[in-house]
Amino acid sequence: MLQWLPILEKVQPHHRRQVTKQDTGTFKPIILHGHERAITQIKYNTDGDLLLSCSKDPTPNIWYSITGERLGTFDGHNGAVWSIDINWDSTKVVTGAADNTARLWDPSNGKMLSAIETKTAVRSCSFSYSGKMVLYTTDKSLGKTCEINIIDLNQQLQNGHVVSGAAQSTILNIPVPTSKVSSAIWGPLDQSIITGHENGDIIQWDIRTGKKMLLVQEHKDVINDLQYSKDELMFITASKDHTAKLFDVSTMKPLKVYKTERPVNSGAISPIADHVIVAGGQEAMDVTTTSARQGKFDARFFHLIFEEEFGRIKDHFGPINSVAFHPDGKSYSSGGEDGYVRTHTFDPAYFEFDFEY
Amino acid sequence: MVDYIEEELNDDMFRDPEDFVDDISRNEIIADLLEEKKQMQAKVDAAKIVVDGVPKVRPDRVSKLQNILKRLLDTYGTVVKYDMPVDENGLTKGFVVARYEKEESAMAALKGLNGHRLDKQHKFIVFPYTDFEKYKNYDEEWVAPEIPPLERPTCLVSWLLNDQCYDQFAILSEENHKTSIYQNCLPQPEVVEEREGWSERTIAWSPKGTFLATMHSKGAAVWGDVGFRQISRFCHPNFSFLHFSPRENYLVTMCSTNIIIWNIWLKKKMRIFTLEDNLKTATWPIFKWSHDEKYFARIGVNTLNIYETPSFGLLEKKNIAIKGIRDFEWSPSDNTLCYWVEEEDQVPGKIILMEVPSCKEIRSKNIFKMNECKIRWQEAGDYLCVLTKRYKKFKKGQNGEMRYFGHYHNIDIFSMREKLIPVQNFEFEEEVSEIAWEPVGNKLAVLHGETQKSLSFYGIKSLNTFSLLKTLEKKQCNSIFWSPDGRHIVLAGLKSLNGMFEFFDTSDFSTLSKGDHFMANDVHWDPTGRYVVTTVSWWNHKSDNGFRVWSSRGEVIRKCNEAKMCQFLWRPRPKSLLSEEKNNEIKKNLKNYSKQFVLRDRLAKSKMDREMFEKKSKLLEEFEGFRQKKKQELEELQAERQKLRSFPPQQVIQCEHLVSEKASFSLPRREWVLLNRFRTGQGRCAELMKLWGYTKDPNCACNVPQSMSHILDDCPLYKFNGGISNLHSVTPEALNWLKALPLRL
Repeated sequence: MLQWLPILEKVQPHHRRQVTKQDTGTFKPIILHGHERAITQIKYNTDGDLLLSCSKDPTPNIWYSITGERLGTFDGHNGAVWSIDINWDSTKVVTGAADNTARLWDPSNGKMLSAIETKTAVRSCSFSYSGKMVLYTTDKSLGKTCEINIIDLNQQLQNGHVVSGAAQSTILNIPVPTSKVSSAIWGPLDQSIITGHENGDIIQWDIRTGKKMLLVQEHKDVINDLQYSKDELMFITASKDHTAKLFDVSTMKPLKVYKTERPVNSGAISPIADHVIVAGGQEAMDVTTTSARQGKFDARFFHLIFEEEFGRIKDHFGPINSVAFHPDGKSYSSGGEDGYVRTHTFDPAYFEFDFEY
Repeated sequence: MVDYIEEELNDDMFRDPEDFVDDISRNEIIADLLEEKKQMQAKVDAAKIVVDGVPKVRPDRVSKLQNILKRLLDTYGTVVKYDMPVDENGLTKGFVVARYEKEESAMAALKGLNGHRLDKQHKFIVFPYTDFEKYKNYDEEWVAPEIPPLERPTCLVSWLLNDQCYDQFAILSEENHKTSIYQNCLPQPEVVEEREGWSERTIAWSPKGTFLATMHSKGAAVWGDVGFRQISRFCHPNFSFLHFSPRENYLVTMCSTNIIIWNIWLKKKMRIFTLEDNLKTATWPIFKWSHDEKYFARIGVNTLNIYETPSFGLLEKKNIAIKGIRDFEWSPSDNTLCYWVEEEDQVPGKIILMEVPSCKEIRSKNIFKMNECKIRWQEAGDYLCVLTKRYKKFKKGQNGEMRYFGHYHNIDIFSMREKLIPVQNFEFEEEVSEIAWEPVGNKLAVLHGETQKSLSFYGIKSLNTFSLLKTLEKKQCNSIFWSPDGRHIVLAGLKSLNGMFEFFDTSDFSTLSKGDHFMANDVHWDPTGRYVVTTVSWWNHKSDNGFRVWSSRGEVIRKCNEAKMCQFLWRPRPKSLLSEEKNNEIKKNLKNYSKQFVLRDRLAKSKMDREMFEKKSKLLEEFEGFRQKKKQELEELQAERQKLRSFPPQQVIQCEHLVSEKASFSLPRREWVLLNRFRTGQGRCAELMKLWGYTKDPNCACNVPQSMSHILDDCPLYKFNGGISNLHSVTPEALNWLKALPLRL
């Protein structure tokens, strides 16, 4: 683990959470309030000591996951930040934003290392397993097509501060004239990538040839999120068609379906138990007469194998946009449309809970 | 020569042996010819007729008779042969055989002449000639006819024969226009029938639940029986409404131009009514049926038109002229109807009870200053409640329209079974939004109040007079739903109240429970009053569609989400055939009965639990299998992944603090090993060698115990001057010292 230097003193006192002992009410969440607008994505690093969050405001945050204290911010974007990722050894952070840039940051000091200018907004970005490559996808807008890009990280860092189009470091560029990519992750062994599309398609691409390997049409609406299980043999999709589905990475075959009655924005697989969190809610623009009392903004817990819901946690007062399990499986965080990130630590009852069957 | 051969042949080869018997029948040799002949004969025979009943005459009159017969027979075609047998006395035998040229002529003659009366005594009996053959070959012995296996007549009420008395319900979903029919069994409802695109619009049950009607652009279809087969179709393009008559014999459909009444059993149009303008705005159903289907009626222009069945004509062939008639309702038990007439100038409004078919007024009541009127019959037809909206004063507006002020409401209860039909009156100062009779019993629920509603119950306390039983103040509700079994009532806050429910017991006026179902817009009691279903229809609300099943006491039993569910309909049941006494007896012994049902439910539940357990075990097993399969894959992957995350050599070059290490990596083996032994302090020095039991002397050449640090730091013979830190970073001096060190460590 690296030595962390909380050098950014910008954190306002009221943003700094008073860490008090969460005595008896163990299911009480830590509320991270550092964003002014809706959270778009949250992610833990591999060790689980850090939590990254980005929102529709231009400043992604980085937090100590254990205390909820803010470590710092990444300043530089000029638009909503759609996606954030940290590499496996927690030495680089990549963000993709609506200001038509993807940026690389040093999380130890919050400095920007490089910016890649794109033609349109960056929708998703992520580091490869080795951390040597970065994948980012851009939106389709103003007559420009959606693109999938893969760049070489080292090359990019050597290229200098701001590189227009990242021409020199680009390993692969795939224009996607059909349905736009709405979420993307790397496939196994840095040899392929998996993209979720606006029409519900999921495509596996071979990055050596840039060709489609597999096309899966299992969802009827936008794929909002793709997340791996801990062993990266399965991934979970979250779709606006009210379902989340579990897929086998190697065959891209659907294994399980988790049904809800709301659009699903995010799904996460527990690293230690056969549990899945599925979260979402009506889109803000569609909400007319929905009240939080109705519990439609809950994080819902499903059994991975039985596809049965066994619990829900309601706390956000807007749809949940992103959920992530802590790598130790003992807590999870959710980021909502209400601008809060909430970290929940499971109480002993959760671990004792044995699925009745 | 030829002759010779023939002779030879005749003599030798074709001569039959002496004992030859010709055992080949003609049939075998010239079967085809025979067959042909037979057919020819059959054809000829078919064209022959026999006319019996001809007068027996003496030879001198034969020709006259022949002429008469010929004339008669010739009218049907050409007679080829004509035969009139004569007996030994010269008298004709009294019958004639005639052969026509064509078979058709014979048939025509057969039809036309049979039964022809020649004169008073003589009547022709004509039959085909082939009858002789037919009856000649008739088997004398009687053979019992084979009875085909009995085809059980299909039973339209088979769904009622369920021994658990489970009810059915239908759900129409916008998704794929799917209609599903479920059996509401425990512990989970089961699908009875499910079809996509069954109905293009809505579905409807008939009043007793026998039929399911579906609506299509070409007309209506009626389904029923086991497996919901199509009973019949009624072609009525673009019709928009349908309803069944109370006894399910007739179906009424309406399109924008006409109304058709069909007989469901005969699959026939009974009557078509063109839609007059005044009917286009009328509320459906336009035709209202009397309880026994003997009459149906509608309102015309200042008339009441009553029609009769099965003639489908007007009763006594005329309309009943009633000036200002606005609405009417049939009694559910008698052929009596109640209508009301609006007030006009100085003439007050009227509520009139009329008997059919005599069309006699049996009771009427004048009501002054009346605006609106609602008629509600009690289910048993014993009482009639009329809600009237009245005003205190009115003003004529500038354009001559009337404006009314100071509204208040009146409820009039008519006691139908008493002499002269007495009326009781209750007055409400506030808005009365709904009145409802208890389906079994005689309580009347009245929902009144402006924003905060109150619910009042009226009932008979003594001497057949109604009085206020109870008023519930300030209730969050805008609709009320009685249980079909009476007693229980659901106070529902639908639409603007977002679906709040209160379950209420009217036997002791206590609240059983409260609950909510967000955005629910309808309440359906099941036909037995055991369950209540609240629904969120896709037609009203575009999300959270589905239904919730509650017990009659207001406990949620089940929550079901059905994507785009539009309609939920319980299948109605016909009235119970049990007598009053039997019913009471059952009620008295309910505890004994319930025991066995509770047991059954428990059995069903445990069965489901077991099935569930098996299902889950299987799922678990399957997934474990999948994981095992993946394990191998994972191991291979892990190795590959390890490679991906380890530092490749060129990256190490770039790292400054590792430069010196690079030097040490490239050391020759001896020096490298030596260096590490000094670094760790573990080597083959004398002290350690003694410790390990290889030597006995722990001392160095300088007579001090020889440890690794002694060699490095203290020993006057070998000591390195740079110290441990220099050795660690492998300076050139350290390297030289390592190389020169004469010890084997």
